[in-house]
Amino acid sequence: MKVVALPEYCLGCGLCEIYCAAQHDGWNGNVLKAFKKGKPVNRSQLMGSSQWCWLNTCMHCTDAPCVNGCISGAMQRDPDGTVYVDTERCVGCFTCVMLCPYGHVRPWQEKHQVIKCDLCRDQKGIPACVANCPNGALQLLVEEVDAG
Amino acid sequence: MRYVIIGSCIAAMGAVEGIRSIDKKGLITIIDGEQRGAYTRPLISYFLAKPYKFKDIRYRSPEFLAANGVEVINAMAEQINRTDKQVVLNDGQIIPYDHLLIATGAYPVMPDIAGIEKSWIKTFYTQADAESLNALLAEGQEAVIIGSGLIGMKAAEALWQRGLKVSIVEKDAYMLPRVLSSGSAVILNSLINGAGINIRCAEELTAVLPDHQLEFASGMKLHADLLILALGTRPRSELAVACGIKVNKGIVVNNYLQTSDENIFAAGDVIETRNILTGENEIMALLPQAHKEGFLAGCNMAGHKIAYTGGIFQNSVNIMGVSICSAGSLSDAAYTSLIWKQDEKYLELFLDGSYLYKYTAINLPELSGPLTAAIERRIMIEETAWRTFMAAPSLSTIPPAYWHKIGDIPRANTWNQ
Amino acid sequence: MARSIMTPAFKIERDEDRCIQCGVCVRQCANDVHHQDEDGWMWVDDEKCVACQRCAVLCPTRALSIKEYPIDFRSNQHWTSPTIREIYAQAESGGVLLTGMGNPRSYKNFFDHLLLNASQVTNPSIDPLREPMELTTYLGNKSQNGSEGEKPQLELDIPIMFSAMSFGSVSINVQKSLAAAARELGTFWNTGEGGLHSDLLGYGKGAIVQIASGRFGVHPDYLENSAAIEIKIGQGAKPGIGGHLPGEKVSQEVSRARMIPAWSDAISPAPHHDIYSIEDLAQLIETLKVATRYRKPIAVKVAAVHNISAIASGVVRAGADILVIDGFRGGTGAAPMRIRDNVGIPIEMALAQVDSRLRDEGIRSQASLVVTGGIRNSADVLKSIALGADAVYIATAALLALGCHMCQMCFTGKCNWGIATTRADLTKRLNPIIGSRHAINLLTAWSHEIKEMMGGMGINAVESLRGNRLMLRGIGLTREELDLLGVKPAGE
Repeated sequence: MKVVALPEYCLGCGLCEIYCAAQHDGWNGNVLKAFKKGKPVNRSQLMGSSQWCWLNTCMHCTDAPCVNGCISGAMQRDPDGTVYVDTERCVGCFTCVMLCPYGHVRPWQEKHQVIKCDLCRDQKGIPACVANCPNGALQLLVEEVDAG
Repeated sequence: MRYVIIGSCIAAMGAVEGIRSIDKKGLITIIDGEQRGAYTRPLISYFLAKPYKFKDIRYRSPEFLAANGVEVINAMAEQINRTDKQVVLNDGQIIPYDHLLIATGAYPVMPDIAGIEKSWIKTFYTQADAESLNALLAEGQEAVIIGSGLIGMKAAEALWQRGLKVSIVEKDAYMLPRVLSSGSAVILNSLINGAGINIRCAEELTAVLPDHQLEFASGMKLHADLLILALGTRPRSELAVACGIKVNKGIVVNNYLQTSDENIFAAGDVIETRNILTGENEIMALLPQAHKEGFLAGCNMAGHKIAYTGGIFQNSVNIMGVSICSAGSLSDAAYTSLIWKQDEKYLELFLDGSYLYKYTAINLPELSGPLTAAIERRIMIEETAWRTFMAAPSLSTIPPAYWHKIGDIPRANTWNQ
Repeated sequence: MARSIMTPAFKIERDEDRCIQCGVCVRQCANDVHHQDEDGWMWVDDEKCVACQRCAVLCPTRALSIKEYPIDFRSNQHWTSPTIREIYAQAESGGVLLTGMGNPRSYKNFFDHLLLNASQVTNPSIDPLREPMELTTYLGNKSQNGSEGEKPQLELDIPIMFSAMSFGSVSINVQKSLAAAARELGTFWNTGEGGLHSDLLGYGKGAIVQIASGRFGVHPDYLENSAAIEIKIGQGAKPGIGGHLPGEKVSQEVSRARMIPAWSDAISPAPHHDIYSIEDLAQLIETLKVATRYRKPIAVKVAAVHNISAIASGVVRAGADILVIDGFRGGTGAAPMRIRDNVGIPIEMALAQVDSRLRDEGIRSQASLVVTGGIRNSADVLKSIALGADAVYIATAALLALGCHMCQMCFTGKCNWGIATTRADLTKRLNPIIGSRHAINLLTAWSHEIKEMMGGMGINAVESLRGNRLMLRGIGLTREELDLLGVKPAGE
């Protein structure tokens, strides 16, 4: 599974980032509370200019360089194929950041860890960015996961 | 099929994953000479800095090994008997193999200096090293680290975090010589000096004097309660040499990670790998590379033929809150160097025509992914595009050509005619 | 320039307890109403707001609301607030007032004074879930005229088509949405006078291609790659005047589709300069028929004006296979406000009169009658058919389904919904996949409703309803209006 961004329909409105941030770290998708009470951090980042923009989503690569190169075993792939960071184990060496050709995995400076899309795996339903994109510029692509 | 793996670190784990991606049944035996299980060497500095927090520095859990049906033997391999296809262990056991993987890793380099064998002089390479250092050190002590490579820097940081007074001594003209350029070293030097670690470059240790005194080539003397030798590593290739496999700087392997004996594979820090930028074989002791080599070796041991085309040098490290990312390497060609600096951030690119060969990024880790891929995948991007990017480097200003050429971003369900 | 004598038209209210300074409003407003300063403070410039509601719709915390500016002139039934503001605007600009979309004035709406019949006891009603209901409609000349054989017909699965909106006045994504929806629905869309964009060549066979006074984009392949050809004489929103696409909207793409130089004004003259009589029109119709070897129906679109029935008779006699009448509520991308609001007649009246006239003259079967201009829902469609139409065109309703919020500022080219614009960054705001789905949903819903209402009347084919004015009763209409509409008053 992965979220695919379609730049030709991306408005650059940034709702994906907002809902992404509010979906994580215990804010449960409550945008108002998340932004009024805290400083929620989005996983995926909007890229480009207003003319040509897209959400830099995780490809959840089958042969994921970030997982393979993680020095602490924090970067993992769950049985559904979702690549996620185990924040208990991440030491913030940023090797995965260096290995991600999409520039998706990025440092979370405040926590001295890395941050990336986890497809909202802790939540029910489709990822928050896809659910809240006003123009269908984000789509959830479900592929067969290699059982190995 | 019976697989035997000598060594139990990154390449070994990669090999287990590689074998099991193809062969679910074959017997896998790991010979763990260090008897510590699969742990991550880079994490020993984290352990040393915060032993209470990083007690567990395992790379893969015992459950991982159990789930993959791996048998672990805690013994040293003493000899490889190629004619009978057996490994002889130091406890007398004899392990037969069909396909053998040598993933014995490396040793820390020891300088040839009189008086180096002292209890307060340590290398910093294994979990055991870190544990003995942890037992030895006390707050307020003076520690000297010889060598400002990644191991030396991380050791220095850990000791500094434990409250020691730390000096780093580097024999080259600037610190992290394998990673930095003279320009970026200046920036890092000031950032790290400012944080409280003393760095002395162009000094070479010549003697260890009594009373914890160190003497250097220039005549400089330093007192050290602790001395850490971080002079790099060399491949642990004795087993291979003894059994007559071809060994150069490291074990020589072909594209399928096979040694000169087709039933023996090798991966990780013990082999020499082709540097795709220079085309030369080099020792690339890098963790992601070790995993990749191990994985591919595992696949090939299980009967596939997947070529390993080589790699590039790449490192990402955080020292005293300063992030340093670097990838690629330079040969003798005349490179165009583009530099961008702002406050504590620094980025330097080395280009030859339309190809990026190396970059050094200080406090700009977010850019390192695309830059590394641009080098590794030999992505052609016009120099003018790089110049535009360097006017204000950010993820959003990465040359559009990069995103077009990285290419494998899937498209789905667009409007069509 | 001095400070304006007008207050802003709208006031944006930001609920500071809800605003999270995310900046979505800033990024979405093409009118630059919203602004975020270096300290993160949010500011609005009410004067620029056109009440398109883009910001309020996208605001993740619903912190924004837009109201008419809360200030009243002294109460005056003659000098109303809009009247006064229009004078201020003209006093400051010295120009013709421009506007977009259809006539918004409170003229009598005859659709709302017509009621539909239903069966009770004496004839059974039909359950559309159990019985087949036929909505298929054929448009074209159905008269049998000796040796000529069958005339070309357009086959519609539902009696609703998408009306003419040119690429240039609307974005390419509007046309993509409607073209794809029309194909899915088994109906047709209309290119408007803007040529056919190369992306839409594959949808040409589902298109009615328009030829208007500017003759933009007309070439043999354009005529050939079509379902039918429509000669546009007039438009309900602006009868008697031409069109003017300002040069800044004539982008490279528009220029290619229209076959005119980029960034030059695209002017459609008020009349066709080769049509000054019914005979001239007959000549053009015949020319087009010959050019397409009599294989395509030719439609002629006129605005509903005072002597529409005589005009209609002439057009049909000139050889039109489909007569399109556009009522005074019809929309536009840009029209002078005075013309939009004061010229033309209601489509209901025009339709009833034309249908009667053509029947009286015995030429009703020579042409199909399509009406357009202000069709709002399935009931309007049914009432139109009962009054005598074969099918209807919708445009405003389709645009609303695509996201239009009726701010009536189409002529600025800064449509925040990606509809009335050619700017690439705004065009992409309308995803044609979503757009076509919405258009399909709308017409699917309408066709369900039409079937239910027809079933209620005991009618199982839309054919049987056409011109069946006994199915209508007027309410709140004068005797004269009832006579003109040809319907009985409620109760009779």
